[in-house]
Amino acid sequence: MNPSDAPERDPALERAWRAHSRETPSLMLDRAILAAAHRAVGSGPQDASKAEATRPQRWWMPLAAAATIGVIAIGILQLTSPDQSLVAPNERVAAVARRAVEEQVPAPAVSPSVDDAMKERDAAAPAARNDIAGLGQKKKQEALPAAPVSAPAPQKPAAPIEREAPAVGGKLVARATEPQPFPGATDARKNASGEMKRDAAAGADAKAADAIESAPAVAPQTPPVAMAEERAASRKDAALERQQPAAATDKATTGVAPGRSGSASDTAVSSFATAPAPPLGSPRARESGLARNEAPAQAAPAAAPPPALAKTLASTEELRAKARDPDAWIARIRKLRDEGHTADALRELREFRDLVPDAERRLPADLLTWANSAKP
Amino acid sequence: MEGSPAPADSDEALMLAYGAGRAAAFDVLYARHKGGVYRYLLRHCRNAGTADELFQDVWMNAIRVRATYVPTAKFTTWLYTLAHHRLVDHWRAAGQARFASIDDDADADGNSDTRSLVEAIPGAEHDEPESRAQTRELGTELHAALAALPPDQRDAFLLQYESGLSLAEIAALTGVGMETVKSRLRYAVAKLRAALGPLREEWS
Repeated sequence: MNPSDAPERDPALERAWRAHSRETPSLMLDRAILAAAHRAVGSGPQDASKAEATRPQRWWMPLAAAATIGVIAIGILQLTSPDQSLVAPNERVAAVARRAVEEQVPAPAVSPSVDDAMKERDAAAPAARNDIAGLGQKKKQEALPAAPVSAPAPQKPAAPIEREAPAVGGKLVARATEPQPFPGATDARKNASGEMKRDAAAGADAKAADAIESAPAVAPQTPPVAMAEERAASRKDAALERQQPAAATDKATTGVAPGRSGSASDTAVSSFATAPAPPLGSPRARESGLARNEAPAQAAPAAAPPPALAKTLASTEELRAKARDPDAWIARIRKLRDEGHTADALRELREFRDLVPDAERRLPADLLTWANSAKP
Repeated sequence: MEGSPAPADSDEALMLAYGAGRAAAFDVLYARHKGGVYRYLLRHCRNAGTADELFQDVWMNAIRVRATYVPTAKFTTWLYTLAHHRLVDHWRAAGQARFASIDDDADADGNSDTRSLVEAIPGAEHDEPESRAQTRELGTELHAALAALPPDQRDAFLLQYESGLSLAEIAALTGVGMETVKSRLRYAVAKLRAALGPLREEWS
């Protein structure tokens, strides 16, 4: 007690007060208050450890799952090439068809410098170098194994394809207008006849359609050999086109147009037929030739050529390989002439003149004389 | 604090423990202070039913504010402050004076709650009949004299003799100066001595 309170406190009175003041609340009131106190604590704050155990700690899990899915999706998109992921299947098929038709479009003449540059570039591909002397005899045999290399799934026998493959698009048109000295001698002569032009055009449509149908959903990467063959085909087409008058091209293509469906290949062929061929040796021809020679090289990695085109490319590669060594080619022509295969010799001579720029200068006098005098 | 609260724990520590969620601490606090608070309220309102109601309200208020309790003063002071404010609210709601005098509570028969409270005082049951009657008489006179005190003097007397608060604590609780509290106590004790004079001498 405070000392200041001492005078105010009466011990006797305090003792009397303690003795006579003993009231307490009832037991019911005690229980009610204690129960309320316990209930309040039960719903009130608890120990820190208990509260921590019941605290939700997994709020970040949905965020983590979303972030993981996003990272995986971005990774897949980065690993997938744009052609496979961003182009719709129908667009891919149309692109393959357009590319197949464009590869058949005859390019303008290739200047010797461009040809030399491409020769140097192709020199890196050993598979493209063959023995020119044996090419004539093994022509069909080599064309067949070349196809599976560049074409994943050949759909037709190799022999017909070898003769039908050149009859695609503008290339067929160009050959159909050529003067054929030996009609009916070989299948190639048949393809070149005027009556076969329409059949060949229809065959070209069928081949283009087959190419579209056989194109895989996801185009595989074109092997280097196939790319070289494509470039060779382009250059051969350019050489063939150089020998053909533009008027003949227009005439042949106009015979193809009526009564045909409007497929992608038809559209491409028609657009080519309506475009006049540039004059030989003109700047425009050189530019377009360069452009057409460069375009397949850029587009080649996107898709592989269809089987029919592979066959064509293989045969053209043979001719191109022969053109690299004109002397051996001349020897082969002379050999065919000496063996009595006049038709084959004339055909080889014609191809020699088509592909070798300075053919007339290289041809020996005896062959020139024989060529001028020989009749198919 | 884990386990049962020790009896030696201070009131403030027990209240803090109860605010942290230990219900057993409240049990100890309630056992310590339930009688003093109840009697404080009972002596003022002189009605057992009203005292029960006010008593329950005081403790429920203590339970409600347990989380915000800050031991800035003695727990006893804080608890009796709650009781005092609740008593003032009760009187204010009843439209009565701040502290009613004993005469206002007497019924038409001349009996008052003080007399009934004296009857309810638990006497020493094993005492002799003569002593029991004497004690009952002393108790009756004591409670009658207390009820006759002015409310402020009664309040000061109850806070000191029943709750054990100091003059400073009483002054802070009632909102008056310490000298005023001293004066109120001096008058209250003097009146009680005068009322209990002959009995007090015999009983002591």
